[in-house]
Amino acid sequence: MASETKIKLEAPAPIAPVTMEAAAGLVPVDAGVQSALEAKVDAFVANLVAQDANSPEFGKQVDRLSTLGQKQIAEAAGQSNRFLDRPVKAMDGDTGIGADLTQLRRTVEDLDPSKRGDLMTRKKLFGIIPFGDKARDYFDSYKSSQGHIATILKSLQNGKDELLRDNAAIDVERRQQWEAMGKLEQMIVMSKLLDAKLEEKAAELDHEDPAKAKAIRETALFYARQRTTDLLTQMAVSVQGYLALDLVKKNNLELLKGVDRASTTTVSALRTAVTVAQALTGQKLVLDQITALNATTANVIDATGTMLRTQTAEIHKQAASSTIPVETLKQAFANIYATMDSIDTFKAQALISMKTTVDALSGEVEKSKGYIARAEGMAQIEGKGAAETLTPIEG
Amino acid sequence: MAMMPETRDALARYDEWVARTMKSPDGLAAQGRRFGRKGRSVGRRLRNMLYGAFAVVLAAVLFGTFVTPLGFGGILLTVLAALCTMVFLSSWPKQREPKLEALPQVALPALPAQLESWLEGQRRALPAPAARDVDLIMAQLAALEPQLIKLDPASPMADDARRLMSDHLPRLIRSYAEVPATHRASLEATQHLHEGLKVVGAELHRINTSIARDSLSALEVEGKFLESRYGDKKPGS
Repeated sequence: MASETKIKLEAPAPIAPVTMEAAAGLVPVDAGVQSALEAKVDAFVANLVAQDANSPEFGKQVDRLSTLGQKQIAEAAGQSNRFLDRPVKAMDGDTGIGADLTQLRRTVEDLDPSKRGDLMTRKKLFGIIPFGDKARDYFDSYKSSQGHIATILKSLQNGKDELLRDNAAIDVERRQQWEAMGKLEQMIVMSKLLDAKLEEKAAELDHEDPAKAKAIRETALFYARQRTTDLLTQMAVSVQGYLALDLVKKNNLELLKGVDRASTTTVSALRTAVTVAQALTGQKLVLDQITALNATTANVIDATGTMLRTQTAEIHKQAASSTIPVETLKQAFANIYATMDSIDTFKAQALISMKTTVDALSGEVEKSKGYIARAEGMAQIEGKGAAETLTPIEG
Repeated sequence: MAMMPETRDALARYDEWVARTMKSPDGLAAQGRRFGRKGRSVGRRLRNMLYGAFAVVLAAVLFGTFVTPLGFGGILLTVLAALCTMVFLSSWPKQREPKLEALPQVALPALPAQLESWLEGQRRALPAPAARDVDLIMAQLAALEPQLIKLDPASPMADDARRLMSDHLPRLIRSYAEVPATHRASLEATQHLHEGLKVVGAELHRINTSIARDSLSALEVEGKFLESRYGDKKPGS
């Protein structure tokens, strides 16, 4: 039985920092959108070249370049900052699932048959006079603990719901971040196109109008390149945040498995105790609350429910036929401990992995904050937001 | 056929007259809210007056019962005092027009209402064509008000909203008012004001949409949660 119920919870590996070069192109841009963006860039460049290099209109167009993609960067930054805001609740040992598991362990330890000495001996008053039944006393202690255990298991169930809700929120957040990244990618495509086309135009103008070529190189091209870097930096952060959200989700899923298993093994041990009590002392141990819980747990935990049912049948058989039913009970308790130990190990590993990821991401976010601040400052000087002509294609 | 200059001028004057006299639906709504606020204020005052008069009479009765009988002079004095109290409470506390300097200190959910009444006070100084922009902004402020209550005051969105409402918009209107009266009606000034107000309106709309989007996401999260909790999918798959 021990080999069957062996549970292994794996902490996902930390997310390595994403480089700027690797960040571009991760989110695909449609061919149609690509050509629409190209048309926008062509129109913009044509308009810019048509202006006199010293006119305010030329300056206005260049200003648009200096705030290129600012809105998209701010939006994407808001999304990736949110990951850092998201407290890693499940990993917190003092509250929620962590606290419930600690309590459960304590209660289970109190009931552990291996800590009660030999249950088969009779109790003796002053060590001489036979007095009472040790096994009977032991099984009585279940009755007093059952309410407590039922409360803990219910609370674990609530914690599970929290984890599920957390994962639903992560799904939504990831979808939004994917959209933000799509827009960011479009801006990157656009800024790279601008870079290429402006360069080309400047080369063309070198002979006809060297002053304009110089103006284009020194202002428009300069800004286009600067914005490309900013956009790529934010893209790297966003990709990292996107992957980090997945990490949190995976962690939650593992923890969910752990909690499921902890509940199952506990209920299983209690069932075993009922059977063993019957076999050992002939008393009918009635654990109302646990029986009620049993049904709900088996229903809710679909994955382990079936296993629980087949296992319990086996336990009944074993306990009834076994000459050493107490050993079966001890094994059931060992299963609970094994589950809890693997949760503890998982949590320790996951915490490290999470911390590494958060640290890496915080560093990147700090870096990108600098860029955003610069872009904002620029926009405030201009008193205007991003250019209307150079925006991503909606849809 | 080219339009005669006189005709063009007449049409322009007509447009201006229409803009000045006709109320846009947003303008009507703003007026409705203004009346609502006034009505609430009047109600509050009436209640205060009633309470004040009652307090004076109660004090007089207690005095007459426990200290010394009031007598005719006392009753006259009581009536006089009650009247004075009512007159006093009818205009106290004074309804002050919100001060621009005080706007940054106002709690965020109360800011739209304050700003709206401040704008109301400034409206006379604004040119007729700007009235529609202001109406639009007021409508957006009214829509934003219930949303702001839900907004965490520490969030960047709250900062944006506060900055826009307590600083950027009043600053725009103030700098328009600072344009010398001789030049205020010029096309250039009105055009700048119009553009500025349009941007403010767009930004208010963006904030509104983005708060609504947050609620929509929350709804989506609940839906997804229920799906993973009770749906056919096993939890965690």
